[in-house]
Amino acid sequence: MSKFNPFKSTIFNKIVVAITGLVLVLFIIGHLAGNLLVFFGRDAFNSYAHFLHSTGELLLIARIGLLVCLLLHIVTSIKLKMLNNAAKPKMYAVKGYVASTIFSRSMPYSGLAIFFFVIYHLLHFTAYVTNPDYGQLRESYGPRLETASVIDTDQGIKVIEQGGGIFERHDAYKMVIEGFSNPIVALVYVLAVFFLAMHLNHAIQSMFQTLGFNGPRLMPRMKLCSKVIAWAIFVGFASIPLSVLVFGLGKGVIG
Amino acid sequence: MKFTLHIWRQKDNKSQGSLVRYDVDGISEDMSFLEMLDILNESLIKKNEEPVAFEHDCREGICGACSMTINGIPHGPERLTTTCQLHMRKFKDGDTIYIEPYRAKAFPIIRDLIVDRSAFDRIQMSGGFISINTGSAPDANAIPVPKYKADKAFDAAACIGCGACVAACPNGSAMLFTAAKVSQYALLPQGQAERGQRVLNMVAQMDKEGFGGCTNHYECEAACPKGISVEFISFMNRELFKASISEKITK
Amino acid sequence: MNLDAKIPSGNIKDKWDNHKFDMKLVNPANKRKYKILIVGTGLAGASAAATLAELGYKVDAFTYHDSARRAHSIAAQGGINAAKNYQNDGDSIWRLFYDTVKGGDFRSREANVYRLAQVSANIIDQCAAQGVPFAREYGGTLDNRSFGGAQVSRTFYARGQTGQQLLLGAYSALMRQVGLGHVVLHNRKEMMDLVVIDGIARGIVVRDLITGKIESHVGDAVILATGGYGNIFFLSTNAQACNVTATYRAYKKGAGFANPCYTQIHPTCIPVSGDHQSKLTLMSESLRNDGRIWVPKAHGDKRRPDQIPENERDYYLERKYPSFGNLSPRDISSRAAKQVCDEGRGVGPTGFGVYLDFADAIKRLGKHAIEERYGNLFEMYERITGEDPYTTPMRIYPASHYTMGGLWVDYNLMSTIPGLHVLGEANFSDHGANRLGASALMQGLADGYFVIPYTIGHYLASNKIDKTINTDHPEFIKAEQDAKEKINKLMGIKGKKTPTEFHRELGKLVWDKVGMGRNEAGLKEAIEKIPQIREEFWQNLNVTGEAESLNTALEKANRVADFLEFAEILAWDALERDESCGAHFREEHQTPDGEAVRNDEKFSHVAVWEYQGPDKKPIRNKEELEFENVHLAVRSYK
Ligand SMILES: Cc1cc2nc3c(=O)[nH]c(=O)nc-3n(C[C@H](O)[C@H](O)[C@H](O)COP(=O)(O)OP(=O)(O)OC[C@H]3O[C@@H](n4cnc5c(N)ncnc54)[C@H](O)[C@@H]3O)c2cc1C
Ligand code: HEM
Ligand code: HEM
Ligand code: SF4
Ligand code: F3S
Ligand code: FES
Repeated sequence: MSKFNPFKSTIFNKIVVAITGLVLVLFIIGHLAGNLLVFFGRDAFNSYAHFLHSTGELLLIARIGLLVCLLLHIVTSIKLKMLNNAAKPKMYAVKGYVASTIFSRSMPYSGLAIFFFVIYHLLHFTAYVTNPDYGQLRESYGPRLETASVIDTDQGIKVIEQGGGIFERHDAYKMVIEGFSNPIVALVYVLAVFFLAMHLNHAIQSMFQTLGFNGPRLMPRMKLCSKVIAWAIFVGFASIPLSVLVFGLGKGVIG
Repeated sequence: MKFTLHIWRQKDNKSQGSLVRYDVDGISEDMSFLEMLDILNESLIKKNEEPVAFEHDCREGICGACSMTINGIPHGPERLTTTCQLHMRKFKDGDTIYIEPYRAKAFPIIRDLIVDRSAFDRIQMSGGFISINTGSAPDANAIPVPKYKADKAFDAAACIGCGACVAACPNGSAMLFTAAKVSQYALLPQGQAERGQRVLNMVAQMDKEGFGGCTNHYECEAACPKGISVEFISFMNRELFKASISEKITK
Repeated sequence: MNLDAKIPSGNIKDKWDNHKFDMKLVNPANKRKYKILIVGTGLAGASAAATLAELGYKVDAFTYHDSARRAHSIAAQGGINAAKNYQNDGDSIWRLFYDTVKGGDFRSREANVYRLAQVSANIIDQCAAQGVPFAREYGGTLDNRSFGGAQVSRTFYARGQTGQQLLLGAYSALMRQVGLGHVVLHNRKEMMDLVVIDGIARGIVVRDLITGKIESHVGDAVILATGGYGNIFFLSTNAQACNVTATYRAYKKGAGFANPCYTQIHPTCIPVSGDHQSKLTLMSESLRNDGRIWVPKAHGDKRRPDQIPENERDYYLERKYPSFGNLSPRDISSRAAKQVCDEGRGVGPTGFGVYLDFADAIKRLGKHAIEERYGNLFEMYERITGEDPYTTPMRIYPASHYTMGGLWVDYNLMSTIPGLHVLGEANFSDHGANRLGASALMQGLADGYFVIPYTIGHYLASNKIDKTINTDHPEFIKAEQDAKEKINKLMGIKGKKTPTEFHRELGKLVWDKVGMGRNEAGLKEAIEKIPQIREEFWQNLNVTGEAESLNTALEKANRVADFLEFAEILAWDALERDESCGAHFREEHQTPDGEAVRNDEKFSHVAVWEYQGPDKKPIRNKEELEFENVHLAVRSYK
């Protein structure tokens, strides 16, 4: 009966951005927690990475879900941005901003920066396109052997050196430490998570506002939370490349 | 006091406009901003030039007619104040002031500082009412309204339809205006029967008028002379979500 | 001029009910065959347009504003009266009726006022149902406050923005009908003339304010709801665009203009601060609930208010009118303020101001309570004056506010031109010589929601209206021609002075001589000088720009031109009403302590002015007023 068409509605599009954004934020927080295991040593980190990969179909589903969210998020937000630009064809000769922030106004740009980073990041740490050798980095784990030996496993015959574990897995730890030993790479990461924090500084409270969880008392708290979470994420992520670069984290371990 | 003004002059909707410089002198700090423009206009007529066209009527901050962007801020720098209530004592002697019309696609310029805000009327028309024919109302005290709800509804109803929210919003969005109206009726018991249809229709009309979407810049709230809170935008999003789902289910 | 008020017979309490029964009805299927033109979308116009459209009539509504929501009604602050007696403090229809007749100094028509009091209760019901957020008590029921001229609490309000909320209610009802296609809304169209064909009102000529084009509209009846002419004083609390053009041009087409000299001066406005001033700002009368009005006892006392001790202050309203005190009616309070200022006891830089002091109320109730009640008004005051009313008393002075006079209408709200109906402030009907606070909103909505919907049906059903007439009719062509000529004339003078300069000059003259205090010599002087200003106007006016485009200077000039003619009738009316009554105060007629003295023998009538042609003195006709239910008495608020 109503003339309302959700697909044409700016509000519904914005709700899509917010819900996909929420999923992405939850992923980021989880991802950060996982990555921080880097400080707990090679075993902790690699166990975690290994665990993720061992989930099989679940991982696939999660990856597809994540990808869909990311794409939806980007497509919808860019569509909205174009619509919004069209609604404001001419700007003021002098513009006095009062309440909006550099963060809110740069959302599409910080978003785009994140987008390019994610592509690079996937090529770097997931597909190993930038550094094909990363895929070959292995770590053996499990009960240590006194002597080098050949054992028969599910995956076939394996040669294990002296002192090595009986199992073997991808050495994500080494990959990360090696990766960040390159100052340019490390700085790219730091810069990227800076953009991420800029994005989230506005995004988290914006998400709640968009989804209808707001009120006079909630609003200032939301804004504060948003800031705190965003910059905590920045510190969390940035601490990894910086620790490697500045304090030589993990250098000893990977030899 | 003395000011250098840069005012947008544009003959009509089809013409190109530009900023034109005027110098005014002898302005008293007790003058309102519009009275300062009156002085300029009187002097322009004396010079056989056309006065700057701007909209105004009540000059009390309630009719919502006055509409201009002063140094990039609709209604100028003072919070919670319409242009007609802005006084020159808020400026410094010798200031340079840029005066532009409200800018948004949905508010086409008619002349100089006058824009066409009839899109607001059409939003109102699409659902901003309670359908009650004259004569069919029950006794006013038959339906009690909790005071806090009546107060909240009033906070929303205080909107004067000036359009500063649209002008201030970097996206040219009319969310604050629409949300204020939607919320007023949604909060009152009298508005319940049409609650869902109302928000769906008003939002549809708002989008159709070519207003942008909201990305939560909150400039609208800061520019709003009546301090309408963006909390109502959040409220309207919720209303819209609920209404569109219940429409899908019940149809 | 036929001034039959068509008051129904019978007991005053039954008149309206009987009349409703006696009036002819239009069959529902036939209603859509009638087109009604409504000029004005304020409270009166919007409520009428919405209601008539709901009934099934085709309505075309006109306003010079960009939106119906901007009509001047939006500015009303204080509240709206209704005889609901929700407070159980002894209010009744009869009491509201009585208060209004008495407040109007016994110069209004009893039957109309009684009807107004009767329908007042329905107005509140209707508005609450529309979603008007009236102030409420904690229990959820409606709250009331007191207003001048009444000893009961019967005023409903929505913070300090009652007019806004009521207008937005009427506007929402109107927009609903626009959406349904029952009303065609013509915004930014200014009425230039009324078209009368075969003695009945059949249409209007309007100017499109964007393109400057002159257009005609034909209808089966015309309703004017174009508000008051308080801006004749240049400085007033009215909105800038308020003007007399629509009613004045109807008057020139034969509608009688009633009681033009009844102009109300509101006691609580922010005083003038300089020549630049374009308007005066009203501080709601509700402030007088808690504020105390005083001036120093000594003449020319220039001390700061806080340095003037209690015993050197004169709380003159409390002194002179102990039972109503600071809540005395407007005309009385205004005059009292003028009196003390004329004595040289006024305060502020110009000496034209009195204090409205909240110190006692703040002491008694706390700053918070005062802030709750009047916060927005205090802010507005501070914004305009730069002074903080919580610490220094406000300064106030009377200013032109409302006009009780207007086009004469009968009980059915029809003017002396058949088919031309007049509603709201534009007519003269209910307030006599002085309007009580919070009664204008009531009257506008009563007219629009509850009176005209009945009476216009009666008119349409009892008259045969020629359906063949269209805008090609010679009368329309002629009216268009006249409008164009008038515009071209204004454009063609190319003199030296701006429209505003003439308006200011006229306003000053009218304020000085035909303002709060009037006397024979002054009125005669005004009558002599007004034509001089008018003459200069037509020789030395400068309107720049083009006629066929948006031209604000031209709009203004066109309105000032009518004020310049109308001012003369105002002065004539004031001169010939040789008595003091309500807001019309002739200095010759006062008691030794300055109270108004009426002359019921000679002036218990409505003066209705009839146009006689350009530069001819109009004829003054009379409608005698009969009082069968209230006793004519000296109005006392002591
Ligand atoms: C500051 C202030 C405060 C007030 N406070 C109160 C109060 O508290 N309580 C109370 O009861 N009353 C109050 N009043 C009085 C009251 O507001 C008005 O009397 C009332 O609102 C008039 O309503 P209206 O519909 O008759 O006219 P208006 O609201 O004045 O509407 C006039 C309409 O006519 C249109 N119009 C006029 N001329 C033309 C034309 N030539 N062509 C086309 N359109 C035209 C206008 O566009 C407008 O739409 C107050 C008045 C003022 C000034
Ligand atoms: C990859 C490219 C990205 C682009 C182009 C992008 C762009 C945008 C844009 C334009 C907005 C709208 C701004 C607003 O509504 O206020 C937005 C909002 C948001 N983004 Fe992104 N973004 C990207 C990635 C991300 C990522 C990786 C995350 C999560 C970590 C994220 C989380 C959010 C959130 C939570 C919001 C707020 C939604 C709302 O306000 O309702 N975005 N994004
Ligand atoms: C210091 C910072 C970071 C480190 C050390 C890091 C590390 C890693 C590693 C090791 C992987 C591979 C996991 C695997 O394949 O087993 C990975 C995957 C990924 N990272 Fe990061 N990351 C960092 C920052 C980020 C940021 C800021 C984002 C997003 C904005 C991000 C998004 C992703 C995504 C989308 C994947 C792919 C997930 C998948 O394989 O399903 N990462 N990251
Ligand atoms: S919400 Fe505020 S800024 Fe927007 S139209 Fe209403 S009053 Fe003006
Ligand atoms: S400024 Fe614009 S982006 Fe939203 S919060 Fe206000 S409408
Ligand atoms: S002129 Fe009415 S709000 Fe400014």
